[in-house]
Amino acid sequence: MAEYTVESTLDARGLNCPMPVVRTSQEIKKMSVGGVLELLATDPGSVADMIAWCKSTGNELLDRKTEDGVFRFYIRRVN
Amino acid sequence: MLTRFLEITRDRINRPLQYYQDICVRCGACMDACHFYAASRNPAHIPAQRMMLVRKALQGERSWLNWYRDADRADGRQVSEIQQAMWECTGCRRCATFCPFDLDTALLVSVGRYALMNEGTGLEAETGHGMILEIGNAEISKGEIIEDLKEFYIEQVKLLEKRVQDEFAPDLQIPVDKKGAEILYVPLVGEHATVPAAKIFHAAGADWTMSLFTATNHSFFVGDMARAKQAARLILDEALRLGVKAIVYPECGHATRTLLSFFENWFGEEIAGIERMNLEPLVASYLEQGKINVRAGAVDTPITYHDPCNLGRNGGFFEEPRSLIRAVASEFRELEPNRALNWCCGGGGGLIAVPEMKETRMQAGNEKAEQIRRTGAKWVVTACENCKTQLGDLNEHYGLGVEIKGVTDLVADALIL
Repeated sequence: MAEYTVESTLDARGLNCPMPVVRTSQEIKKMSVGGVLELLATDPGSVADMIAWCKSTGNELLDRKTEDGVFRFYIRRVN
Repeated sequence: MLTRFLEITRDRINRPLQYYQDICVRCGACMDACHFYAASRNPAHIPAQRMMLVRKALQGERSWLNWYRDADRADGRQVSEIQQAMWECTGCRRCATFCPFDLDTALLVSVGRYALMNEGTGLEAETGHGMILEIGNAEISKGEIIEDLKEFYIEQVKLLEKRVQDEFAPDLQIPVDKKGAEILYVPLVGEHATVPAAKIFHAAGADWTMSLFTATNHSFFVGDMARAKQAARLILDEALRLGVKAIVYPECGHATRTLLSFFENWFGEEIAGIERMNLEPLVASYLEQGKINVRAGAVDTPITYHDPCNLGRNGGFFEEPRSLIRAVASEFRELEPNRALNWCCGGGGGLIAVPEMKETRMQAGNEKAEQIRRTGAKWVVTACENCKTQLGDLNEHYGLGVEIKGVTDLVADALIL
């Protein structure tokens, strides 16, 4: 895993659709360009959604990992 | 101002929409049918006025009879009114139910939204509605990344499957990408849209597989039918690749509407051999045919049911959810009014996804909150994701002291294996 500092963490567990994407989008817009957002989710659907969102908005998915059933995404704000 | 808006609107006004505008006599029957107008008393929220604003803008552009027709030039005030008329609407179509001519304002709102999105002056960003477009684009992008992600996705589903096995049934499976399955179940983001369905399919002995995609289609909310079709195409291609007999959509109103009302028109012969259905009527049929059994009276908490507009008024599924609720709950209380006359919760039309709309949503949901309070119910059950979120927000905002649940949550919790 590459070295980076997390600027903000968002817990998207238990949110109704489409709130994981909405909250991520809102949170990342508050961050500085180049900042890294850590996102927590527990459902597999979020995996595909978040990666697709990164692709369509041009933000960069740096890493993803699973710990005790919790998925963690690390997204760098690009613009 | 509004040059592109007018071009697109003019281009997309088809014969029914032209008739709607010509036929409307502004009798006012729609006024008090609209939850937005009832709450705000803002004339831009009157359904007839929503149509009139667009009509005036179009006339203002091209007719020398402007003075006679009271047409408006597209000035700043008019832009603001049109934005309110198009965005502060959930497309619930309650107005059309009360209209003596069945005029469908929601159809014009759909066109108007698409035109505003394409105005090119950032109007959608001004009101926060760019978020809907952003989610719609991500839904389409999913098609490009899914192959690389498939293995990882299936691994994650296996983790979820293990958890459900431990708490429910050791032999339960959540199949993904299973060729030849009868049913392709397309979930929503969130395990709450997967777990109850998995339990019910397991109990019914259904031959099913879960989709790699989700059912939501946010492009539909902004009237962008080309993109809505692109997102829907991902589901169709998956269904064809797996050779399923049926596509089943979850507790999601607008997605169900796309499946039942638009797929045939979009895909014609390609979709002809594949049955399309919503989860509620399918589960109701399982119960009716004895494929699943539930503990009668498993719930003794007073319950009420909110008819989602797209499932009820726009889909015709009124009795199926009620039959499921009555099978497990001993005290069911109807909201008044209900079924086709049901009052919209105020969260449809994609507005849930627009943080800037929260205050407006709460205002528009005032009447719904009062109706819930009058039932004295402790659980509010519904069958649409947007309704669940909005009802949850209303619960908090108005201090209703209720719990919000899905119909299939109730059924899954009462299953007898």
